[in-house]
Amino acid sequence: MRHKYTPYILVAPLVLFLALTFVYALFYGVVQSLVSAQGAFLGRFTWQHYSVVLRDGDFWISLGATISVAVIATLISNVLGTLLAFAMLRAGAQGRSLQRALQLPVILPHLIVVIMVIHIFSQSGVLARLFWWGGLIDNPNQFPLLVYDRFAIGIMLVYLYKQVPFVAMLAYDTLRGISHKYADVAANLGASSWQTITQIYLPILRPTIIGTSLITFAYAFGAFEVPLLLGTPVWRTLPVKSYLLYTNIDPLARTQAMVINVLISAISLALAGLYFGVERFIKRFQQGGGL
Amino acid sequence: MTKKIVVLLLVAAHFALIIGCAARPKLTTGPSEFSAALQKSRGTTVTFYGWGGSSAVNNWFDNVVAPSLLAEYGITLRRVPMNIDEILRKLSTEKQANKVSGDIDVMWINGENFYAAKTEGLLYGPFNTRIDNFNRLIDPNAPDTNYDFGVPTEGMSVPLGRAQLVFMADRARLDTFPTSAAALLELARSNPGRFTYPAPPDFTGSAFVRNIIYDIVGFEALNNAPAEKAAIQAVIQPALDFLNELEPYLWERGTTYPADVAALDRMFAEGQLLWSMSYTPLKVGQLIAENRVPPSVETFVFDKGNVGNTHYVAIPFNSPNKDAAFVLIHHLISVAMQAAKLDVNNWGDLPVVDLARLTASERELIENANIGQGVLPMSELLSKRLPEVHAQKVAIIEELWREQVLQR
Amino acid sequence: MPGGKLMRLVVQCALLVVAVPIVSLLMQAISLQWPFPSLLPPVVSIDHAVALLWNNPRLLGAVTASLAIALMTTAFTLLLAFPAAKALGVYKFPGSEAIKLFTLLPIMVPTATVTMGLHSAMIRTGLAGTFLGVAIVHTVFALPYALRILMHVFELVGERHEQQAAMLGAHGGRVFCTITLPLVMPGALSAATMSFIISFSQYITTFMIGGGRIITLPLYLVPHVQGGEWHVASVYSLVFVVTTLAALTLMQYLVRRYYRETYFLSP
Repeated sequence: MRHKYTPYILVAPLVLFLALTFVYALFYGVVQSLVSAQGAFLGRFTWQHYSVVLRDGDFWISLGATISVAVIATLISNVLGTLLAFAMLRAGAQGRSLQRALQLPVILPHLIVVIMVIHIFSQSGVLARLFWWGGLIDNPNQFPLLVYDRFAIGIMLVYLYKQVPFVAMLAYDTLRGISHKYADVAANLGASSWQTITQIYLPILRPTIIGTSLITFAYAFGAFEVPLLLGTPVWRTLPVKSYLLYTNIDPLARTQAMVINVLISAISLALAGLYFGVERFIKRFQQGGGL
Repeated sequence: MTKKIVVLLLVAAHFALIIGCAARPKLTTGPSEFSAALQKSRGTTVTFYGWGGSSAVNNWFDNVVAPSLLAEYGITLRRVPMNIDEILRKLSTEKQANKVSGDIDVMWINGENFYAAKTEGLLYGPFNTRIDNFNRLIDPNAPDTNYDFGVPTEGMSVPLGRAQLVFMADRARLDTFPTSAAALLELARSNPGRFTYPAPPDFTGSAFVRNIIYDIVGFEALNNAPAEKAAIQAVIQPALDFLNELEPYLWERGTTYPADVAALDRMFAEGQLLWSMSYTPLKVGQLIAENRVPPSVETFVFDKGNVGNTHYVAIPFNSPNKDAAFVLIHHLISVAMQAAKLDVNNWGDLPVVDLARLTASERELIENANIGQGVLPMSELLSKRLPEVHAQKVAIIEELWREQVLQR
Repeated sequence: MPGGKLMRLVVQCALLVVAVPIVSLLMQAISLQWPFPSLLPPVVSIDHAVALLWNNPRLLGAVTASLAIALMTTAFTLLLAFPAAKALGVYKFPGSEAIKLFTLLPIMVPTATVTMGLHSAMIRTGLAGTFLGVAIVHTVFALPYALRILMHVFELVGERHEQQAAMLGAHGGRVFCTITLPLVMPGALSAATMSFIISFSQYITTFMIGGGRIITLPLYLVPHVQGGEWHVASVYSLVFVVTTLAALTLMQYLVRRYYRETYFLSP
């Protein structure tokens, strides 16, 4: 009925488009990070910039910090988001109205959320004022530092405000689609709630959670706006480091920024690959040995 | 109301211009060249790129400069808000891609960015003597006409305004203002956690660190040291020691610093900190005029003076409409525009025109500008003005601060 | 599972957490001075906020540019993603898994990296500083999301209905309009919404590719955040929220109406 090549023709425009834009951009970035002198396109290639960047102790601190922030933000937002989705499922009509309300955090750019987080969580913010009225603190300096802090709490709060609703919305959609079918069957067959969750809900939620985890991680790992505005100057995330190098007057610094960009991309892709691999392994293992 | 004042200013300036020109017909390049530019640029659009983070500055460009430029020269001004580092990145990419006709006619620039732009060949020029008002109103021998952060301008930029680091505090909350590094330490000790400064490379924070260096080791010592890390460190070590001594009494005991001056401003406005600082010398006047801070807030500087710099306009190598660029710059440094710029309701930026070269009526225009409440008079600011050191040294100091103060 | 009462409480709390920051934005937009520890700003002015909105052609221009680019991005994204999603969602063919993975990659790489890489190419092709150029770059980042959503829908819908229609003698175009499109319409709406949102909130891409010629709402907003002009930033943030919600509601309304009129389906 359909021609053997039909699917290829259907995907061709998309693949071609991404090849001309995305793949080209990556390739260009890699080339830029390897040129020996600024502006020399067909000049000699060199690993020198990489060795300069990798030998800097600051780089490794930044790398560790960036991965930590991204992993923690991903874990918390996916767990909270999934739990919220379950709560919404149980809350009936209220769950549906919350789903509509959750669109708001999803459409807000991170930058606007930064303004909100500063206003609410800074030491002289709304929360600190409530503490003062409650007699818990006498002055702003007694309120714990939640933005511009060394533990990246402020950065995390922005990611959570954006990502928990995102995960909850998608998970809720998925759960609503299946709840009345499988869950009722499972309950009729005498499954406990715990069994229903682990055996029915979670496997069905798996693709959603994989997707949202990757999105959250990649954003938290690669974005510079939020850590630039809310981070501490004591340590910088890799994207902020790259941004500051890029805005430095020294042309060599800009090449180093490109090096960091390439490294961020490579690490992000590698970790995503690893995540995919582990996930598949678990899936196969469960299919083999599970119910 | 403001519109009326602007119109009046314009009329007054027009008169002054005619008288001034008649009295001083000699120009470095023939007047025909500039009048040719005037003629060719009529009816075109000129694009100005510059930082757009201040409504006061934007207001001056959009509501004072743009309408008068159109009325007097028939040129439409398009202002694009963009940070200078991104402007340079754009130009540098365009240079690599050999884009000979770009988007930018005039850009707002100074310091290390001017140095970077000049070394990368992103600037057009020399062009300053091709502008009528430059020849007539600007002192060609003034240090800031020829040097921008110690970098020779070589006619590739024209001064637009003068800025200076100032401190601000609320008289109602603080009796004595710290007018030296030692006094600051004393005050911070008795008010722990109520003072701090933005972490360099924030522009204002970086200027504050230099101000402390000037106060402790003096400008000359730093200016005479070669631009090498070891030499600079040897000279500024007492200042770094001082900042470390100050650290435990700062906000959060100096374990972290606000990342930018915006964060500092917010903490001051909400009452968490006892002071704030600004590289806009009449900032307090603006804040009081907008009712953003109580009228008891006042400006002050160190007894030994505060660091100040001049900001410039330049023309990129690939400006598509250079004639209009000349006319825009001519207009920007005219007495009318400079006086309007000094007005705190517009911008509150110090003028670059040489007062000695002005006619009596022109001088009056500048002297009668409303500089607002809670500010220091122009004469005091100028008498307590210390120059900036070379852009390369600024970067070295920022690095040393990070290593020796922040990470210790 | 715990009872519905507790769950409703959780949901109500979540609703509060979503709403409070918006209220804070509103308060900041009208407050002039707001020192610690006042819970309500003692010095407020609505005039100031109104002055920022009223008679502000630059703001209007930014809103228009944002909308135009977001609509272009949505159109490009759907045109490219729709056929590909059908192929990847319905058919299994050699290489399909690899293509699925490949199309996910733009999410995994920082936007700044891709944009810096594309900038000089955009300049050479003359696309830099044009709406088209900006929309093309936005499309790169919207595609992975839109493709996932559409793929999922095609997986659920499958090919049965189309085959039945074809067997009954309907030709390709007719099958598409009367069978495929209505079935995947909800998914297409989600994909369009997502593309629109992604484009609408882009900053660094518009900034670099637009070269300053193109000022969208985020570009208009960012300098005020960086400059610490929170009140101004808050006012423009609210403009952003209202514009996005209005555009998305209109989009959903139009699709729903089309649905109801054409297919008599309940909403």
